[in-house]
Amino acid sequence: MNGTTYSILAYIVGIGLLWGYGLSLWLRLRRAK
Amino acid sequence: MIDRTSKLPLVQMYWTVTALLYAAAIAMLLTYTPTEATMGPIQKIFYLHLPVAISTFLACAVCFGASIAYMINRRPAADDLAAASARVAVQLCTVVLLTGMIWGRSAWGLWWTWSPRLTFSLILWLLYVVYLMIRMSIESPQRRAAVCAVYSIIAFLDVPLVFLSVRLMPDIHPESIQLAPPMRYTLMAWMLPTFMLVGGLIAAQFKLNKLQRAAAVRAAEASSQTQTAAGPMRWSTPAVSGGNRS
Repeated sequence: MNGTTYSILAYIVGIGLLWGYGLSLWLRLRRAK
Repeated sequence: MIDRTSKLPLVQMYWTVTALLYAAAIAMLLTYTPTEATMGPIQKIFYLHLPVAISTFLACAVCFGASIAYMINRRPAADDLAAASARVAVQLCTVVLLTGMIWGRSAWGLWWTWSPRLTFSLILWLLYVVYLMIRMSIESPQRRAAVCAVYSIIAFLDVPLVFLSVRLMPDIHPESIQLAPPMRYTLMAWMLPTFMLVGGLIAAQFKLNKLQRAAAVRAAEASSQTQTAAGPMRWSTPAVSGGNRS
């Protein structure tokens, strides 16, 4: 893998984890209300 | 009486603005930010890695402050906030470690090395994971809150160690990076949406914690009423403790 691929992988992992957590919170809040 | 429905558009607007700022930051990264001469494209991980690292410290600081507030006034809301910020801190620290490992693999040829900063960062992650495990293991909400508050006050001591280690000890992790003006602007463009995202995550987790605590209290009250109606001679299951474990 070259530097660009590693860079893209890092952004997918990082942004995916954060926004995925946000999405899970939103779904749990909807269920809890 | 607070009109909760009127808050909804504000919340929606907040998340929409955060998402748009992220989209703008990504566009800036792809079209405007120059590639660093020495490290090449891999250096661009920096614009995600550093804001998330700073946000991790801020989330740990919120947990620390909320824990102190709980020890002073014993309010459940302070415990809910501490739990929320700890949960978010674990998420953020995971991202810092993973993006750092990907950067290290490309830049140094290593997924991991036991350098001071990396080691203290891993310890920070472990400390807050243990915080979450402690929360799940104590039934009594008052005892859980007190134990977790004391623990998180001590755990926060690792944050300055992570920050200062690279300055005080020899480390493969760079202490600072020289940035050309376009790179500085890009970094600022990534800081704002990251801080907004983290603030929103802590607020949402805090709200979820409050709802779960209220539901647990209602369940405990209903259970104790059932026991009272059943009479003193019947054996029954113990009342469910109130409070959240998240």
